[in-house]
Amino acid sequence: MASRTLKVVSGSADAPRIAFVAPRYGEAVVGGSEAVVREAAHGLAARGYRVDVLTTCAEDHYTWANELPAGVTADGEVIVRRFSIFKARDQVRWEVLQRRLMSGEQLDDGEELAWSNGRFRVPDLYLYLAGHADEYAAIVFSPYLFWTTLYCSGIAPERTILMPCLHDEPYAYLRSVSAALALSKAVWFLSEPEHQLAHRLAPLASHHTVVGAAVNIPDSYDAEGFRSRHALSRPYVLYAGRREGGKGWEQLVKGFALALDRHQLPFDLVTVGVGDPRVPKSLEDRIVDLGYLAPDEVADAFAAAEAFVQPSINESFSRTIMESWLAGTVVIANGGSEVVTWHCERSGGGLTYTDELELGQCLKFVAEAPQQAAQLALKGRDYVLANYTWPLVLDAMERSLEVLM
Amino acid sequence: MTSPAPDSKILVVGSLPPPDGARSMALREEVVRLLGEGHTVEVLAPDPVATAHRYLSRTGFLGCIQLARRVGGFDSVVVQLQPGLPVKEDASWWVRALCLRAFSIALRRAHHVVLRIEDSDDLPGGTTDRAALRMWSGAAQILIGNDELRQGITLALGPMGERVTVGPGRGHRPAADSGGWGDGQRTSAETVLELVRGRAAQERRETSPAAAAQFAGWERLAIPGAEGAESRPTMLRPPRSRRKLGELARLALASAERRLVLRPLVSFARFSYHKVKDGAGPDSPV
Repeated sequence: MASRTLKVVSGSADAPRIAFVAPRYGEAVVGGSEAVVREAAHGLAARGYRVDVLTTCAEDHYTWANELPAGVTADGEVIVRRFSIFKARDQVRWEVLQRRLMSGEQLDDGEELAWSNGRFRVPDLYLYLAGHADEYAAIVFSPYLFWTTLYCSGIAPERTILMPCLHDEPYAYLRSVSAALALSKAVWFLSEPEHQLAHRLAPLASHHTVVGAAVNIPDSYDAEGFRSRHALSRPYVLYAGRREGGKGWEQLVKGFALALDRHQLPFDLVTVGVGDPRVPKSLEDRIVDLGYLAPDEVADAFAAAEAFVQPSINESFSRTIMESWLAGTVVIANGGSEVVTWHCERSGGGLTYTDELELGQCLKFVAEAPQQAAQLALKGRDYVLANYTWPLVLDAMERSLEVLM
Repeated sequence: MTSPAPDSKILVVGSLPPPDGARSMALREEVVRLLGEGHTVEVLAPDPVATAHRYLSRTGFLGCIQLARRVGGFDSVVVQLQPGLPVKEDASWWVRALCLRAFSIALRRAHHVVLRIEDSDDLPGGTTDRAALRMWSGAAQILIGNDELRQGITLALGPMGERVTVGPGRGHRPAADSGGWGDGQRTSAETVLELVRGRAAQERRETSPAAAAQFAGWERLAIPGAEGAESRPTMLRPPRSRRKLGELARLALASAERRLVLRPLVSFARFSYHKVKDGAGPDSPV
């Protein structure tokens, strides 16, 4: 904390009050941006800011059901205000717009709003912000894609910080996203490629900066214990995250099957996270789904793996590759993701593939040269420790907050 | 200005942002104010992309029917008038009359009604014709977004105009030091003239209504049952000769109205009469 720029008195009623606005929040919520929000909120609270999180009652981003009670609770030093989700009765129109959007078609302004408003809405959060925005020195919205950002970030643009977690995907090209990028007081990016993508999308708020993101560094790992707790007899490669098309899970399963077939690899594919993995029958004995695991257990899963595979191209930072490197595990990543490729090239700690055959060769390398793979992973670990620890990221956030205070 | 009792359950009908606009922002301010007073607020919007808890799936007449089913169970209903709620911009005169009547009936089911209007365009067809006045008269409170419109409606409402309030901080309010003649950029001869006429009319009404040219020859009558000399509501009555003709016409129309097939004609005749009587139309400047 040596380079802190603001004099914030911890616990003081005069300390600046900051709000994070996110569609989901909680320890059990799976998602990169959600994790960044939670850890940043706790980090700034620990530095003396009064931090509120304004969020919904949902935990599951598939159903957006109100699973948690609306109202105010405390998550450590962070005050959490939850608001109920309302969903449109008729999802047909939203699905039509979604299909058009995904096919690359441009929606008009009204259709964009209908699309944004069609999945879920949180009117009481909007009204809370409309009435209380001036109580906050800054309001940080993340990620860019949801109603909570698209509808609410315009309420008090003079104190809005957008942390978009952008991916190069059709949604990023919505005019409402461009407007949010341009009209917010500040924009926080998690990586340089995300920053460059934003420049291609829209004129940016004059104050925008790459604050980065970070992962918590575990005190220790228990790789052997993890293997025995989950009865994992074979060496494995790991996929951690949401098991869904948008994250490349299906392509990974296909590529893994092909690699097994071509190279007789010794690995299983172990997966942790949420979503139905829909494992093909032919791979049931080689793909192990451990479902949702607590963060400590996930850290051990990384440590016990021979390699971590990141098949997603929709990444704005990719916490999981950082967690993998920290655990000393080499990363094999989809080269279609600018962000992940950028990390791999800068660190020298990961391999990228552009098709299933290259994925197979990467896995073969790990199987045949585990020591070289471990050497790569060490470079990755050094890279994370040099660039992506919370003290560094919180320093950057505080420097940026000066603009609003 | 009456306010709902503390901890009331209030239904706000109208469109909040997005899209941002004077009307939607003003309604947002109102909702925030109500929430700040501790009320429970539910927002029902006619615009399907506006921020709301629920939506009206129809506008115009069918929207009024939906509204009638929603207002029950609330201590107070606040309605922001806007095109489509209750009158669509392209509504014919008879559809407009039908919508306003349906709207008035729908709101009768509410305990306490506040009507809000930001601009005269928000009620297509005008704000001071008979159908509109019938609607205004059903409200416990009317909030109006700008002074010019307020003056017009106040005058048209007559004694009932006491319930008309210009909402705080909304509309194109004049600069504080300009005497209320416009804020520079918006000032034009037309708007100044409107203000001149509106203010003059207001002065005539407040100081010497009997002497005002518009009311020359008209009698001021007390409304039966009204109490208090100062605040006693009054209604204006035309001079006897004109009254006789008017009464005859009203009798004829009332007689014709008893026949179902003639009702559209009667409505048309009434509308035409008011149009001719008011010169440029039912919403012409006063």
